[in-house]
Formats: sequence, structure tokens, C-alpha cells
Amino acid sequence: MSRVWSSVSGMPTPAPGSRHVRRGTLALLVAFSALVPEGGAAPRWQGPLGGRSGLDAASLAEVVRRVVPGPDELAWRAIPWRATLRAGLQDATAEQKPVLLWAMNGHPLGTT
Amino acid sequence: VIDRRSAWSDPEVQALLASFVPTADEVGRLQRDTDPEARFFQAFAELGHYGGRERPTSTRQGIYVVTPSGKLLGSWNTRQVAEVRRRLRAALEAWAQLPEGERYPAEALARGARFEDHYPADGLVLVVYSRDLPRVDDTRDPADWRTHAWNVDHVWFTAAEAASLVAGELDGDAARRLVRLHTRDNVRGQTTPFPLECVQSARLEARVVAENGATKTLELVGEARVSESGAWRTGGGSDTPEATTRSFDGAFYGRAVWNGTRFTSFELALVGARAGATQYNERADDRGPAPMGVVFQLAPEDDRVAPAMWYEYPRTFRR
Repeated sequence: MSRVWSSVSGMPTPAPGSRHVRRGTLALLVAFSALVPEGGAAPRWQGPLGGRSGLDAASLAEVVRRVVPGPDELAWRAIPWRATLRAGLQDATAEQKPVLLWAMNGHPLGTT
Repeated sequence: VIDRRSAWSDPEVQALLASFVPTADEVGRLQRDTDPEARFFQAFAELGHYGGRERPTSTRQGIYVVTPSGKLLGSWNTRQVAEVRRRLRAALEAWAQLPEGERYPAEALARGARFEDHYPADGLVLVVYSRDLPRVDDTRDPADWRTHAWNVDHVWFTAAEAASLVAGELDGDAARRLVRLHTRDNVRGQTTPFPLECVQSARLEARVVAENGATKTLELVGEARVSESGAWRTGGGSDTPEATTRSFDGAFYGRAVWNGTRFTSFELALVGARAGATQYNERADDRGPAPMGVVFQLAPEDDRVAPAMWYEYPRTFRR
């Protein structure tokens, strides 16, 4: 396995609380160790359905915790955004307010 | 992504927004298309901060305050909180001074076609988050926003596609679409989907692990492998397209509950090694391979934002 995601036995032991490998990452790194190609070759192993899998219910929860944005990162979602200019104009007329339009390359409520 | 966590997260800005109808939309379609909604946008955007601009890009992205009648009250493209507050107040003052008769349209905007109109209410709609995962020997700067970047997208499946997964394996075309559009590394910024011919493996299977009447608890497992060689302006100090390869190689795992009619719970992770850099995804100095995680969850029913790459969806969605 590559050094970046070494196998369990070969994985460097980080200092506790290190910013490089914090507590709680071990399970993930173990899971990743099955995913990482050595020298560009795709790894092969048998998963529950005969396919490749380095994940299970425990690592699923850890991945979700690490990937899904937290409340502070989603504070902007507290704003009741209308998702199209058309909808914003309709509501603005009904509510007698101006429209504030946030227009981005990529939908601002999606991929930007 | 930066906008999301700066100006719009400010409590004072959020309080000011109560006096507006906050609206978000994709600018490319609005500035390019010819339907009534797009024409309406173009009329006021050309009076705004990027009106008439062609270089360095012709984008009209930014913030606009506009009356329902189409009169522009303010426009800007800054995320500085103090400046956003100031401009919001100025726009409200302009609104207050505007005669009532100039605020509203004589008639409602004619309805044009949007992909959002094809929202698959009877299918499966997921919100998708992507982010880098922990690395051993991580040399990234913790103070750099890119180290903590994440992105969001949406996935739509028709009822038939969702049913195929419940039956044991996601329809092949749907699985390839899933992999083409959601293994692309958009953590730090946008990038294009993988071409169909670059998909080496796209499989998502389900097996029943518990059953109670019509309700089935499913375990989801699969794999995703794509690789594309091409030339991109990666931003690595040169504007010349660079021949390079981008790829993703990973595995799915998840859990879902099907109540006999629809999914009531759905959580799926895709974890793997991504590599490469493209024009806008800010990976010129971080090409990997490095671990990336993608999580798919049920979207709230009021979240009807179309998938970013909606134009890659088949005609079966345009019923």
C-alpha cells in the first residue's frame, strides 16, 4: 500500500490529537487502506455482495460525520431561499417586498 | 462555498433579509437563455455591476436587489459582511422611496420551462455532500479554506430507477449517471462530469437485511471507478491547457428503508481515492491520489434544486 494510506500494520502512529491524524480517524484510515491503489493499480477484494467494499455500518457513520456539513456551516440555510427567480418574483409580489437575488455560476443552493 | 459561510451566516445580514424575498438561482441559464424569466434577469443585470462586461469573463454572477416589476435597486459581488449590510440598507431605502405604482408588474411573468418542473416527486431525490477525508502525513494548511472545503449537489432518480435498486441493483444507466456526475471532484469548486466512456465500473446493489410487512431495510454496496485523460487549464501557474488524468476509485456503502412505496430513510457513502486537477476545482497543488468522501441523504421535500448537471439527465425526466 502507499505511504499515504498505509495498511493497518504499516500505518504511522500519530501523536494523540495531532492535526495530521486526529482521534477517530483510525477507523476511516483502515477503511481507506483497502481503497488505495499501489502504483496506480486498482485494488481488489471481496465485499458483502462479491464486490469491493472497505466500509461497514460503523465507518458509514464516521464518513457521514466527517463529510456532512455541521450547523455552523449550514447557517445560511436558515434563510428561506426561494430556489428560482420565478418563485422569488411571485412571492415578492405577494409579500410586497423587493427580491434579493443571489445568482452564481452553479446554483447557490447546490454546486458552486 | 465561501459566500455561504460568510455574509449569509451573519445574524445582522439575516435579520435584514427579512425585508426582502431571498432568492437564489443559477446565473448561466439566466444570462444565456431566451425564456421570459431569463429575459427579465438580463434586463436588470445589464444595468448592474457586471453589465456589458466580457473580460475576464462574461459572467453576471453576484447579488441583485430588484423590484417585482424589474427595477434594479442595487447590485454587487462582494462577500464582505460590512459591505453587504450597507448595500442591503441602501437597497431598502431605494425601495422605500419608490412610488408604489413602480414596484409591481402589470402582469405576472410568463411561465417558461425549467428542469425543476420535472422534479421526480414519486422517485428518489437525494442531497449530496462531498469533502476531503483525513490523510496521514497531511501537509495541507489548516488556515487555508480549501483544507476544509465541501460542496453540495442533488441527485434525482425516477420511480422506476428507485424501484430497480429496491429489486436488487440500480439500473445500469442510472448507476453510470450517478458515477459520472458524483465522483467528479467538486470539493473545492466546479468541474465537468466524467464522459460516459470513462466509466470503468458503476454498480450499486441492495440486499434486504430486515423485512416487516412491506417495509424493507436495505444494505447498499457497490463500486465506482472512472478515469479520464484530457487537457485542462488547471491554474497551476499557466493558462495553457495541461495534459493530465483525473480519476476516482472507490466503494459505496449505505443503509436505506423502503416502505413499499418510497424510501423513508436513505444514507449512502461513497469513499475512495480521487486524483487529478481540472480548470476550476482548485487542485493544481493537491492532485492526490487522496481520499474523498461523498454522502448521499434524502433531500427534504421542499428542496427542489435541480442537480448541477441536470442537462446530463435523460429524457425520461422530461415527462
